[in-house]
Amino acid sequence: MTNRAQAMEQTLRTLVGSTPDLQGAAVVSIDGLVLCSALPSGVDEDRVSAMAAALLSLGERTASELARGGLEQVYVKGDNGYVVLMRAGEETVLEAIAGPAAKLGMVLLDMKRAAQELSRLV
Amino acid sequence: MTVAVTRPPGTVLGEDPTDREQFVAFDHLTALIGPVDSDLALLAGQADRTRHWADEFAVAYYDAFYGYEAEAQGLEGGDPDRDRAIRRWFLALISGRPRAAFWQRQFAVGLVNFRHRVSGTFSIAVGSRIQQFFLDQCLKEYEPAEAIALYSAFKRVTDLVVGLMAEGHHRGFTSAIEDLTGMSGPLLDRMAEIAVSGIQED
Repeated sequence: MTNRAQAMEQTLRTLVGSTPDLQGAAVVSIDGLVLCSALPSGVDEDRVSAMAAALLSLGERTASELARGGLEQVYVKGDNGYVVLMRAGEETVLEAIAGPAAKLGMVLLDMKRAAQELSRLV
Repeated sequence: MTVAVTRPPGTVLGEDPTDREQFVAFDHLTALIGPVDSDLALLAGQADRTRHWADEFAVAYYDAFYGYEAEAQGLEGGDPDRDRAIRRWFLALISGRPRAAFWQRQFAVGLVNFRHRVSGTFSIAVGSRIQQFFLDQCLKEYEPAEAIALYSAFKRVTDLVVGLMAEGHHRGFTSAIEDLTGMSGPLLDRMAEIAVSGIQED
């Protein structure tokens, strides 16, 4: 594993390990390829990565179409928790999943920091 | 006279994805079907004898088109000048001298077909019908060997046309999704790849 890949993985581990109720995270390319993943076992990373890239694209297009400016994040809430997506540089997307009791403000803050770090690495 | 069937001179594969796909499709088709330069020359050489088929051709084309109700429904409210348009298309093809714009239009027809919900399957079927029409005419008016040669030329050229339309149709579909969702072509390809491999595994 290259230094860059190791650094990305470390950033993800830190994010997941230090944010309460964060259950996993991944970095994917805007073309939907997995770059680095700390998602729970049993998750189909290929499918989820393509979906994350698709959601981010759709979010950006929707925000633009409705004159909401540049996209900051996309979040999806289900009965069992959240999926949050944000850009981590020009070509990459940071995706994280959290439980239903997660404090979203904390999740977003930690994700933003991680995204900044990742954008320097990719 | 030999007509060079290549991309328009000086054409560079640019950033526009529709142009790009159009020229890539053209290159693939001519590589696989075979060079059609001599076919076009043959058609051009016989144009004086085949030109008068145009009216009958237009009738045969629309019989095929509207005879099939499911597709005819998709064309309600279409172009009232289409009889003239299909006649012109046939004449351009048998002239053996279609210009670059002609080939570009075939790709564009695929895009328009997508809008009118004319399926790729239907384009292929109509392509087959017009080839059969041309073969019948050739056999009526030419010696068998000449008929086969002329028909084969027409077949390869119309196969190229149908291929361009099919690619244009596909492009219509993908560009609609790209435009509305912001998803890139590579992302759509990736999604299709993942979904199809899932289906195969099932």
